[in-house]
Amino acid sequence: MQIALNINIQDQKIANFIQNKSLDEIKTLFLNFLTKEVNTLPQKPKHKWAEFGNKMNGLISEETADELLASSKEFRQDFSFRDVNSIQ
Amino acid sequence: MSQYILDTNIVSNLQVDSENGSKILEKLKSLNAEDEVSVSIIVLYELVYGLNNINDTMQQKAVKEGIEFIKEYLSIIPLDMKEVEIFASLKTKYKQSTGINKNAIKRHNLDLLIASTAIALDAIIVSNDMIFQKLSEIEPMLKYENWLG
Repeated sequence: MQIALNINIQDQKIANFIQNKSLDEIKTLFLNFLTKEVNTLPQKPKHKWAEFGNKMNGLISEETADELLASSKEFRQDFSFRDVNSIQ
Repeated sequence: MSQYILDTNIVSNLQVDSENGSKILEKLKSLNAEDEVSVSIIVLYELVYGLNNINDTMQQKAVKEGIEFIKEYLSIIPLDMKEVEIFASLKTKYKQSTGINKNAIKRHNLDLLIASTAIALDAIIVSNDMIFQKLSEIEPMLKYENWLG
């Protein structure tokens, strides 16, 4: 990508700093500044749900998941509230 | 802010590195930090019971680790007085609308308890079990999502 800039520098200190620098040096300074900016962009913090998901995903095999699902199905189907008629 | 209650089938599928596991993972990543993710105490009962049925030592260890992550990250919702009347009403509505007999409905008692908890908390039940879709059609107060659908 190529960009052409025409910058009017108002700040005298900055003007003095770059006035004796070559165009290539100014380009390098500019690129270095941009690189630093990009690298220090604040990373979106991972929230705990993503962290939880990442920790859980890949823990077990497909077969084990099927066993857990079978146990869950058995648990639900076998559950019943206490039969009032069975109370002695 | 939304509260989600994950069913056992969602938690189990999340733990597998598969297409289904990835779908659930992506959904979790898309939630807001302010959202709340939880499981019913019933899901924890089922997972621990399931753990005892696994013979492979390495897999047993992995399931145990998953249960610990659930306890660490999610809120575990106990059964509460709030859902007593909701459960009674939901079970009656389900019986009336499906014509299911007394014995057949027994297998859905825990599903009805989990659904009642979701209604009481105004939470979204996340499951791949179609019973919850049926219940949400019968009782519009029940919010239902299937992250595998």
